[in-house]
Amino acid sequence: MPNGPVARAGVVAVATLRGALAGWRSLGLGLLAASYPLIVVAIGAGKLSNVDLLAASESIFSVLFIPVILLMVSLVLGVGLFRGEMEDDTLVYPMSRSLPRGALVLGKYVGYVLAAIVVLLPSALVGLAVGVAMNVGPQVSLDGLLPGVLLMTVLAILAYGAFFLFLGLLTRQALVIGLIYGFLWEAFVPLLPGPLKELSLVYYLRAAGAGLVSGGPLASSSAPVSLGASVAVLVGFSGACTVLAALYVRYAEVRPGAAPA
Amino acid sequence: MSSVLVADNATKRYGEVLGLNGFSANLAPGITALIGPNGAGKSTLFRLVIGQLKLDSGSLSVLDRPVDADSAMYREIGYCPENPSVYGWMTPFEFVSYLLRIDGFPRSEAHARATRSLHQVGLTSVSHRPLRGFSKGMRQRVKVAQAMSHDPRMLLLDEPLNGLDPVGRVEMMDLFRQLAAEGRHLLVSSHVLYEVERLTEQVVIIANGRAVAEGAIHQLREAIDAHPHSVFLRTPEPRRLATLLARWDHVTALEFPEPDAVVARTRAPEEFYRSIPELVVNERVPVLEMHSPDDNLEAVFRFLAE
Repeated sequence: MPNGPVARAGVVAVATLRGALAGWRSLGLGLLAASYPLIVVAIGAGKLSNVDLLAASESIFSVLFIPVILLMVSLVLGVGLFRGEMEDDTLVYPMSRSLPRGALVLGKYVGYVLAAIVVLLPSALVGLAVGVAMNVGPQVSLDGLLPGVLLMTVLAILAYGAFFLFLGLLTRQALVIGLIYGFLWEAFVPLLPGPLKELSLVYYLRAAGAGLVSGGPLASSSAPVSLGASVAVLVGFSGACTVLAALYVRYAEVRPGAAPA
Repeated sequence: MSSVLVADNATKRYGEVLGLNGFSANLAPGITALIGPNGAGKSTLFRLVIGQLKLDSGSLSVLDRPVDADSAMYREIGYCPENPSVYGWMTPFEFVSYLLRIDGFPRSEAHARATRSLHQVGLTSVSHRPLRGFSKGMRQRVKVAQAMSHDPRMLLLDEPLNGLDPVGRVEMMDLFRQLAAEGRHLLVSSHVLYEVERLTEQVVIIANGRAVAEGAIHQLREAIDAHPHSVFLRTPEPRRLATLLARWDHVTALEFPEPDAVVARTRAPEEFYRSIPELVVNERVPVLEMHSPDDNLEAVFRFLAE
């Protein structure tokens, strides 16, 4: 009795996770992710008595970890899901099998999410834990921050990864376009007046975090969007990108730029 | 079933470049050789069959089903691509098992089939070493193993002998004959006619994206034999190998394009390919790689295309 599409997607997910964490690339991504807790430790070790280390770690999480570090890790891992295999010409192996194309996309996406969580979540938690532990101000618990930080990190991994997966299918320039998107669009669109700022993902990520954190920089989002609406927008966006990717793999050509002989 | 692959005016463009240009053919059961120079459209045809490329016009069906109808049809097809890329971080056992499991085989059956396929291609002893350290020839064996591991009815083998040493070529051709004897259909592409004619009499010649000749191989031999044929051999002992080859009457010239390689030009390619494994074994001269640069066949393909 052959296994069904979900079980097969699970096999793809495990292989994708292993592939993402193999080799030098994962070491580089791990070091990039580790820069967040290292920066917090460096500030704490400076023993600057007038610095609220907890507030600093929250601010760094909001302005450096999510929109720069997490975005870069998601970009490299997300684009590599299909574009990497298209350029290596290894995508022919799963494509020549009876695996439904939707299961291939789902499996790769789930594998990416797991890999990104392994790389990013420990750094996020350690960075904030260091902020709490080394804080010289009033002692606070990590409990009040944890749900918001976890939610923001997971939602950002889901949304950016789905977008970069789809982008990697569409163009060979996905890394460059992804960098431009990340460092221009996501950086400047939230600063625009009126409803234009709603066109960035980071707007909804900050709103989602603020919905679960009671005080401090992470709670200071001015977005008039509820927690539920933010989560719905980000999950919906991730789902739409994944479905589009599945349709693309099923009905369009997925080949390297050079024509085969 | 009268034809295992039917192409009717199949056309595929890459922008301004034609990959297939009205390719029409009816392939009979058994082994068929698809012969053509690099860029003729062989790999394009294979990638259309597996659905990685889409036809611009015309039709293409395999085993009585239009290609790319649904992914379930690929249970009946095994594909060995020309490119040597594999997942370098996997072992051969993991690689073949993985592809079987995404084909729907339960873990235990996938492992049993992977073990059997790797044994058939002679890789049992290295089946748990990472693929990144494998030579081109060893990768070729792994690719053939994964293609046949799910017992498909039809095998598409794109230049499957490239990079293999002479003894490996003989072993692989024996394996292909065995698969055909078990009732499987094989479409084997190559740019070396003399290699595949030892496998089959059925041949399709492809040039500039069109099938320019189809039928029995012996009918094409006269035209092809009129052209000299060169063979590239990689060896750590090029001078010694050249000395041995110079003793053969039909070898007309020897060149050393690289420090560890010899190119021999011969008037009798069939005899050359038949004799080289014997020379390697008897004289204990290592030949790591053998292939034919296809420029010497270009004239023949142009002649047939006209």
